[in-house]
Amino acid sequence: MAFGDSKYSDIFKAIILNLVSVSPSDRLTLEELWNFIQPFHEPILRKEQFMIPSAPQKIEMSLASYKNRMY
Amino acid sequence: MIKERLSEKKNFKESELWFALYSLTAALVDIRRNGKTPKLGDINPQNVFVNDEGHIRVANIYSWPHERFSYWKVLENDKHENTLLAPEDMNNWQTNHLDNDNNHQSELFAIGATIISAALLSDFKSVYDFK
Repeated sequence: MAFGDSKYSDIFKAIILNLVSVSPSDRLTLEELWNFIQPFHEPILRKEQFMIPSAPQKIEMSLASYKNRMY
Repeated sequence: MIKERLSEKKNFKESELWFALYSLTAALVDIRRNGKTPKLGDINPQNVFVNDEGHIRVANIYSWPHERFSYWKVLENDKHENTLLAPEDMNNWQTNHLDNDNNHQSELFAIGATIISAALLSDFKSVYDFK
């Protein structure tokens, strides 16, 4: 099974797939990733579900192309 | 990280993988802020552990006397060994052009690859085309 077809949320898959982009410039930088996930540290550390209202542009773009392929 | 789950055939929940992503990223941020070492080390599923409390631990590569850095595995063309070197590191190392200042992009690649291995309970090499 491909990671893209797994049961995990689209946003989670988009973030992880971004990190393994072939080109390093396509990946989030450490600062971008940290600034994105750090505000959600409480639910993440409690292993609770949480809502992500917006994502960095690199993630929004890969999410959009991912959804276009899916539907 | 994966071995135990594989034997139990128990997939990681998304919340557990968020926790792993957060913990590994926080470790990188801490290293960068404190300037302790230029690299977190050889991140791969063999070096990332989940303890009884569910906390993530990254083992030092020197914990295994016979283990070698991924760079050496690539240099020795040992393709059967587990390495999660980013494509740019793989190319740079093979052409003797090692870039030590790539802003942690290669470690973020290794973190993503480790999370994918954990999510699929499989070897990253079997799901990623490095060519």
